[in-house]
Amino acid sequence: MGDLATRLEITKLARELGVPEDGLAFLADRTPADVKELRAAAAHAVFSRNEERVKRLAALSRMLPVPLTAKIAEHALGPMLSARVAAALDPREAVRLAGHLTPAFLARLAVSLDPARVAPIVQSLPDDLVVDVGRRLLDAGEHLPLGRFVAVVSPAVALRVVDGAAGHDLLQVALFTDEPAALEAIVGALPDARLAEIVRAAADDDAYDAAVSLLLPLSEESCARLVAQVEVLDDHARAAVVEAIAAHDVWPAVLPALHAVDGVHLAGLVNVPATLDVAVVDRVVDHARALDLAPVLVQLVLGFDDAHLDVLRDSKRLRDPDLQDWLVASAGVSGRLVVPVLESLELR
Amino acid sequence: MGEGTTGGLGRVAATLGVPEETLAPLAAYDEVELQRLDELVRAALSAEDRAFEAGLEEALRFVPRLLRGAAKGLLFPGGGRG
Repeated sequence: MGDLATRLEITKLARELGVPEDGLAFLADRTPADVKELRAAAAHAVFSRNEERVKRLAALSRMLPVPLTAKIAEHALGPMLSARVAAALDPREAVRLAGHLTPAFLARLAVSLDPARVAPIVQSLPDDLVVDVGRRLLDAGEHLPLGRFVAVVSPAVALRVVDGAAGHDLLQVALFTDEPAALEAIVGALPDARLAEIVRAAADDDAYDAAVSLLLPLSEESCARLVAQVEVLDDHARAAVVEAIAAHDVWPAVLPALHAVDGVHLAGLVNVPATLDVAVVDRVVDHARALDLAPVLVQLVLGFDDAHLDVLRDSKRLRDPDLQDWLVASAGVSGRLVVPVLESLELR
Repeated sequence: MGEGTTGGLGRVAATLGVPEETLAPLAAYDEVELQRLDELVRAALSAEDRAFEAGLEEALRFVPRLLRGAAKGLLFPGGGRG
């Protein structure tokens, strides 16, 4: 998933530096970790550059009545400088100040906040205020700051923020969520219908890489629930999903989830152009073996149509006697089907 | 993309205030790209500086007259401007 993850990191770096993403396009061939490290260095440089001035402004805020400090924040400093100062305030001071700022200003301020620096402040704010600000960010299409804030608010608050959000918005927020545990908590709490909206949004936006990248940090259970939603897609979209899975070789995340997909939809998933490539089939077999998922492999083979079964005849992996022994021994209740199937494919 | 030089990478590292080794993954970039990156970082830092200079001046205007002297001493120690 290097390409997409790198693009997301470039978006974050561009935001950090206040420059258009095009200006950083030359970083596209770096790994996500490389760009993330550069972003961390840039963020540190930006934050530490005026640290003394930030401390002086924080000291001034302590000298003045809170309503006046709020007025200075909104009318003199603006959202970006106020975000810098907020990070230097004691959480109790910051919460008092937030109570005198308008939610609209707080939403603009949140765009410039580094969630990691202000987590104790955000966690001390009233939930209703956080939800109000979060929904304003959502309305403004600010998916990046929202995705980053998901890691520092409770799943219950995050769910209230995205309650009613369109599938496209859910997908974008999920993509920018740095913290796998936070993403897991949200996906775990969303009903299937909302997950289906995310999958449908990915298809509508032609963002199959994005949808597939979401699978990687999720637990097997959440991954299974998300993969099961491909039933809402048409044939073309399902083929594109499998193509993305194959292109990024994320089978290890997908294979354990396939047991939750019913036979009809599984057939729709496996009988796509991407799986007519024997190299792809062999990769799937390798991953299934590595993960000891013989029953899933049998399930996939049984779902193939004639054209795909013909491809299996050319599989070097399936012809390997060691692999066949493993398949027979590990396929569980479907083990008795393995030998006849292999024989009918002339693989044994 | 050609071989990068320590010069370009060193300049970006100095602008960011990090050891050059931190940016080792960028060593493969050529001088022009590293120069561009350095310019972008410098522009971001300059924009931040200008925003602070203007913000501090502006903040002072909102401070009540009786407190303005103390506030000025706090925001601009030594009489300097930020």
